[in-house]
Amino acid sequence: MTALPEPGLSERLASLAEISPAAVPVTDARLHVIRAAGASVYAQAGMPRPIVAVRLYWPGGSAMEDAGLSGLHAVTMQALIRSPAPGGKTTMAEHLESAGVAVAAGATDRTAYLELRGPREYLSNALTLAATAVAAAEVDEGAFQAARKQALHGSRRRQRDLAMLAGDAFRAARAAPGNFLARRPGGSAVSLDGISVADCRALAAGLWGRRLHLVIVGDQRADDYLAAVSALTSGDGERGDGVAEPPALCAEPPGELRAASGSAAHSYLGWGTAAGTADIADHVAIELAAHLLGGWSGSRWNALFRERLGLTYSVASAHTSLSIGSLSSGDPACCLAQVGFSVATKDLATALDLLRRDIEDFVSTGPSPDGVNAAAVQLLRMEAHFHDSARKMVARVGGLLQAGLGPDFAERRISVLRAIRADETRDRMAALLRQSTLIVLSDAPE
Amino acid sequence: MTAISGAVAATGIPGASAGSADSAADGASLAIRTQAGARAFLIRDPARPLVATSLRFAAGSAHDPVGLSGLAHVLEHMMFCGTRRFGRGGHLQMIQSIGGFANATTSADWTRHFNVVPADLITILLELEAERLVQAPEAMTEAALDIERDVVLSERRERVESAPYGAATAELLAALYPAESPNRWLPVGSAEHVGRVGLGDCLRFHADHYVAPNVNLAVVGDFDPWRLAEPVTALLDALGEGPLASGQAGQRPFQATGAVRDQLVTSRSRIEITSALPPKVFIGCLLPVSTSWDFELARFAGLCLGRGVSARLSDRLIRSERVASAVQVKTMARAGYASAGIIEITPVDGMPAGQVIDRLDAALADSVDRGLTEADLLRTKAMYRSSWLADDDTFIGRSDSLSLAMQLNGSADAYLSHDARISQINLDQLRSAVLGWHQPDRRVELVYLS
Repeated sequence: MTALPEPGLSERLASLAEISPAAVPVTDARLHVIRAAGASVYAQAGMPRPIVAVRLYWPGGSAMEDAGLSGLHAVTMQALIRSPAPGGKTTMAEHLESAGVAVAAGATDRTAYLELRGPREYLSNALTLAATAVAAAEVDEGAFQAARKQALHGSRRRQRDLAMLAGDAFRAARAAPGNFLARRPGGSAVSLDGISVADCRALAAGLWGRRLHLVIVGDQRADDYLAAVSALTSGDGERGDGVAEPPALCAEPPGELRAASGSAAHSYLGWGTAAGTADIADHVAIELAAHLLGGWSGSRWNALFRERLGLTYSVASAHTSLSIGSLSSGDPACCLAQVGFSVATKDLATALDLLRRDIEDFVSTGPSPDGVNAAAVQLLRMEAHFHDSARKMVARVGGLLQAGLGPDFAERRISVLRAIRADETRDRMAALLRQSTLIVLSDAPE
Repeated sequence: MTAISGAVAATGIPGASAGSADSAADGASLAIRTQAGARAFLIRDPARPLVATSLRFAAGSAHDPVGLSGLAHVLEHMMFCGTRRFGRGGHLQMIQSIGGFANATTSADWTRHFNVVPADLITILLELEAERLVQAPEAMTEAALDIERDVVLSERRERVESAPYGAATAELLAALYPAESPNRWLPVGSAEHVGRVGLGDCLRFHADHYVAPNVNLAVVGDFDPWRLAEPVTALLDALGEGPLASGQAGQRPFQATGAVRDQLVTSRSRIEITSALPPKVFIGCLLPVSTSWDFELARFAGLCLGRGVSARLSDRLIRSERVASAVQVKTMARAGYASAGIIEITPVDGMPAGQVIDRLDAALADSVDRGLTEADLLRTKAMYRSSWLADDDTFIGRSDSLSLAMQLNGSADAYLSHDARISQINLDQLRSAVLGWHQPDRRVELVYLS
């Protein structure tokens, strides 16, 4: 039998370009989901290194905060890790870090969370320690002050970052009046100023009554964490998910949003869209649109504004899906996407003119069917990257769960991408992108 | 002649288990050295369906000619100008379209080109990279350079000019290093110099530095090392031998040690910048060169002082004394002259910079003066090990660390035994290394005033 010669690089590249989304092999991302002692545990084992990443979260965040106390969950979680652990002077962070466990704390739109990452042998102790500290809910005055000052510093610094500034302005403009979507989970300078240690102590005391969710990825077995989970959920009282405000968008979004960049020399241009939909195919269509516009080096705007004209260094895209329950159950949900880049103010007029025309073209004509298929293939192949470390897996899984999308969201998204039909997706995009917003940050916003 | 040597489960990486003498076993590794002097190290890890590559050239901003700061970085960009197969940007687009990730960075001493791709596509990636290394200079035209200069200036605008405190590091480096040192500038260079870079400069830099003796490649992921040896060797062979024979390539820059380093900065100086930003204090000092064990100790001391919520300086300045709201400690590795250490402190509202600096000095002096305990040492070791494991847990992190170890030490051994070496550090060594961060009479203070 004569062996066939291996095809050359050109042939292999051509065959890759012709592959359909349905044929792309995707890494199995299924989680082991259990209910233990009133907690929801999402676990993935079998990672090769003796390190474990864990995210513990409780219902909370912006969706459960008064506007005047925006940032309360974030500050409280930071204060908790900096406060002395019960029965001693040593803080939770000191205990954990002395064992090599890195600790982070904060809040998202819908949750308050702790993140732990460290050697497997300390996992059980670290979780038990976190349980004890959260149950005791002791917020030290000094720890509160340190946490609040750090949050204030972050808020001020954010005002100098054009992409963040544009993101905040976009969400504020697209949210329904008073809805939590308009607020940052980290809080604003004004709201952070109004938070007191008493507010944090009251929140910390109530946190224990909410249902714990735990995402755990790494080289671990259930024996390593089940006892700690019991400790984390012991005690009296009903546990529930609390009452979160549903995401709501404004009825008449601005077609153009202008704000001050805070700099004479630097400007920012972007585009954003938002849709209130619980249909996962709509979420995928918006994700694909953002990807095609600015999600990779071959995207429309990277090709135009960077590769052809040299007007910017990088185009960035982001999309966020949110639900109050699960997309499976059709609960109220929304999806936001934003794509943008910075330019020198001297180039603003040129770039703005080109951007306006390109947005009009994209929204009216849409991407090519081949472009939609290629983007779906690309997103499916990129799934493997989420598995490149316990930390990335926890960020990915935790991010989806904390957004309220349900434990089957990742699988359902993959199914939609695999079965993508370009014409149908283009029709969805046309309908969804009709209410998009052009974002301009410049020294002279009017 | 190309030398290839393999080992199975001899990596010493925690978690890698011993296996049979099978090149497809978990932990199997292969070292390659080509006749022209290029080196590669391949480790199989089937845990994830990915492969990461880190191709590191000894070509960084320290190799920029005087008056052309930023040249190495401009060339890094120009390496994506195209090949015969692909037009401008096409190489990167191809890799991303098959689900891969590709990028490059330039630092003071290195330029590294790195990729992560689905495992079934690794041979395609290696062939594309070999094409790029050979053909990129053909695509370097005046028109391409015009665009890339603008892109680099945009990058500079985003990262240095418009980023909050973005100019701080550049100011500190310029004040810390002597006039003749190339460590005085950031890899992105000055806007004036970048505007001056010509096509001939790029081609010359490429011919001098993108050569076999200057390169180390690390490959980590789900593959059979012996099957990958051929395309890896072909990739390395795509590089020219370069001007090594005339002694230009691979030349080690001047390295200041001990007392010589102390003479580089002989006084305490202060730079004040008035801006609309909240006040901030930066303290810059010189540390040992990155090729030395002393540098590892300095980095270890930096972790002790600044890593984590409960780190020595964070605990003291933020929690106990409440004079700061944030503290960061970072090391900037430099193979020539000396490395740099920067302590960044955000004072609480109304706290004068001078008072914050006094409290910092008191905290550092306490640490040196027997304030550090065995508990501090154990904590730092635990944090170090955890951080090392976290880096090692990603294929891109592991391949990058391996290529760096190969570049610094000539082999991957230093990385593979790193964990064990750190565990040997004792309290006296930690105190001595912290002393290196506490040089009140030989440092630069940069203060942002509002």
